[in-house]
Amino acid sequence: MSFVDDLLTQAEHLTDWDETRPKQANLRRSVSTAYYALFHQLTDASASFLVSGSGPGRDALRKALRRAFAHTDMMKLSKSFAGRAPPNAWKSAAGSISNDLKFVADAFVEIQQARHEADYDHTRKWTKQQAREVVMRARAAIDAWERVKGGQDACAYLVALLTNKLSKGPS
Amino acid sequence: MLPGTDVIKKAVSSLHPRTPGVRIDNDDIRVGLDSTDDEAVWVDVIVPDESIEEFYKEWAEVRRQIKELIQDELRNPELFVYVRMKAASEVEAGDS
Repeated sequence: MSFVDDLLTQAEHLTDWDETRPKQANLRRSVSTAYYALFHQLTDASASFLVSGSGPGRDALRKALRRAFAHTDMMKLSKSFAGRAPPNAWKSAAGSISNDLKFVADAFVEIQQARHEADYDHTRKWTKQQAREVVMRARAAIDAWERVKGGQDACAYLVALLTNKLSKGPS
Repeated sequence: MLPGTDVIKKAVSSLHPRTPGVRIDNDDIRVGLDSTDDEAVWVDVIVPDESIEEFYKEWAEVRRQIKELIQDELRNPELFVYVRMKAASEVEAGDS
């Protein structure tokens, strides 16, 4: 199993860990872990797209890129890809945005926000079903990514996730 | 500037999921700033426990409808709406 699969499985285990009243610690860690599964899926894909091949130093370059992603920038960019209108700055590179990519981008925004609340906002309680749905959505987003990866819109998304704040897009 | 939750309740009042018993949690609609400091709306959907598996078939469509109803009502297509799911038993037990 891949690291991403392991994270999703761990998130599912945490959601169902307590048979009766679930502990907030387990539900919150479940939500956070589901987010990191999706985060790693996308950042790994982006780094591999931007630095391909297996030549000398390529792994080190990909590792350096993976450490450059900023959660907030990724979320802001994903909001634009999840919206009804395609992001103006990336229109020429992305073409039309497929429903699968919109689903991925929307899930990334929703799950990052959920992770933020799970980790930092202790004024609200998480329910087991809320946490379970977040984990299922992360898995569904990763499945959707498998369907859409390689497409014009997905390639633009991978570049934009890392560079949007710096370049503001190609157009 | 975000409106009060009454406007959000009105916007989603026309939502009618196919799965029986599914409803918006009108007591827990929230407006505010999200983690990126953008204005946002939070809506929870309550699903009868016995219908959760069935409801997943239309969950993506219901989420899309909720987001668009609110964006249209507020005339703000860029407003992000966070939509989550609770089991009816969790709401009755006061778990949320």
